[in-house]
Amino acid sequence: MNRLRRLALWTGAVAIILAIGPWAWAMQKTIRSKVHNYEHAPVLIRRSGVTLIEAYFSPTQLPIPGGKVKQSRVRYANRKGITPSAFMLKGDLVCQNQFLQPVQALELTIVLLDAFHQPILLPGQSGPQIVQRVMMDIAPKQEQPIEWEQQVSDLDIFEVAVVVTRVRFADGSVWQAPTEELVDIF
Amino acid sequence: MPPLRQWFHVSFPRLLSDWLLRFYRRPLSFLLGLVFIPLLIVVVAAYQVNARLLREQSLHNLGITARLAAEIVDRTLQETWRLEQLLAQEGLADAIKTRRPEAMQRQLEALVQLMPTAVSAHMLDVSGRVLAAYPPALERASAAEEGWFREAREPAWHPSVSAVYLQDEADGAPRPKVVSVTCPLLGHDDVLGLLQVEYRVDDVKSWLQTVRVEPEGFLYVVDQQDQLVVYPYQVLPGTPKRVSSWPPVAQPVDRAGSTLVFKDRHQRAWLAAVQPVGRTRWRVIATQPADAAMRTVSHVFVWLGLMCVLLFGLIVLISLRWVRLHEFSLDLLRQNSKLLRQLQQHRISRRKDDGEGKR
Repeated sequence: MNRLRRLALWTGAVAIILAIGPWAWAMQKTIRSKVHNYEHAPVLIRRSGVTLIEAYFSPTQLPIPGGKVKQSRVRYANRKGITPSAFMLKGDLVCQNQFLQPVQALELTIVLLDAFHQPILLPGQSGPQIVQRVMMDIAPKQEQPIEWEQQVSDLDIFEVAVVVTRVRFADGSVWQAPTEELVDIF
Repeated sequence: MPPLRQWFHVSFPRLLSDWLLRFYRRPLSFLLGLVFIPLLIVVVAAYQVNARLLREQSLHNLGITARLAAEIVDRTLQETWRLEQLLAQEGLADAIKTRRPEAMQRQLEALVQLMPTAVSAHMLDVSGRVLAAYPPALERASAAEEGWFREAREPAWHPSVSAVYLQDEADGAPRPKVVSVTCPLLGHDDVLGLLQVEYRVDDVKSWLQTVRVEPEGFLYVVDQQDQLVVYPYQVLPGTPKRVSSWPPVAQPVDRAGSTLVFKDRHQRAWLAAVQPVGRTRWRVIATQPADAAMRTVSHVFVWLGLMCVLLFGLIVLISLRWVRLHEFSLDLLRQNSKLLRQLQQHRISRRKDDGEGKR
């Protein structure tokens, strides 16, 4: 009987946790990510994954100008509506250096697209592209995982296009993507 | 009886019955030969015929879509020319004749403001010298070497639409893709000058937004230099992309347009229709993945295939019962004959016994 009662208690606890889970934890969803590599680019993106993450400012920390504000994934029921949530795009990609020169840094251009393949403009940006500069050594012919983050305000992001547009090599030379427009499908 | 008739009436039925009897004794061959293979042949043949018909129909539909889109672009350009000509003849002609740059600039300003899709306007003389421009920041000394100027002048002065290009740099802002629509200003017996108005190509995109290619298809426009004017899947902006190597662009096209089936670099098959836009030498291309166009027929034939498999399974089940019944009747026959034999033997032995008794 004792064992049965314990089992029932455990089952109840698990059910409650599962039931309140979606309300207690902030939203997170995987966004479609499409990789575009220019012909003859020295660094190729092999894989890319993007996640849209909701985060709350930590209620115990006062925001200090210039200071990094801690963020939490927990949705506090008693502080509902007091601390607004922020949305972050988190990207993970694997890049491969195709050249025999070590790479020192690269520039990623990220384009956010809606469900109708129209670029989404972020506030304060002049164009639809987001530029991320990554300082990272990639040895010749080696692959390297890269992470990037971008705060966003639009939640209608359907697809994210990621392109390597500039590469700096160890000898100081810089490769730049062609100035020609980049198109998808064909 | 003639030999052929004899063969048809005597030998052929015998051959057929022998063949059927042989098959009849082997249920698996019988089912495969008389049911499954003919059924498979019928389904495959029907699929091929339907797929071919649907492909032709899809190409025809793409052709109509491309023609419709080309017509929209052509008519809108014609209207633009007419409007430009009307506005120019109203005030610009006098300003050119009297050589008053301020008056020309005022007219150009009014023209740009009247046409919300226009970005800038230039008034040039026949040698290509810029007489006035609006906005003034875009003013340049001469446009004689510009492609659109040569396009408008050769072989004789005529209204023309240029190839797509990036607008001249202004205030470090992103340079949009533009096209020049030029229109010569005619005097009594000579050409007074050339009016050039630049339009953003985004407007061309908006002209075509009402035309859809479903499912998964899209329209794009290329200019006389095989550059993309409008393409719905642009990832990063830049100088116009030259797409001469794309099969629909590489294919020569006449006034009636053309259709083609091609494979992209990922080996995916596409259907496409190409239609020229009036006298501009632009082309509208309507394209659609072949598998998307064939989806209906594939969907129908998947279900038909499933039904055939079910039907075949049902026939197999009935046949197996029939085989069992057949075996049972054969057994019964065998037993009957055995009993008959035994009965005959029994009768013979009884007769023998009776004979010996009498003796």
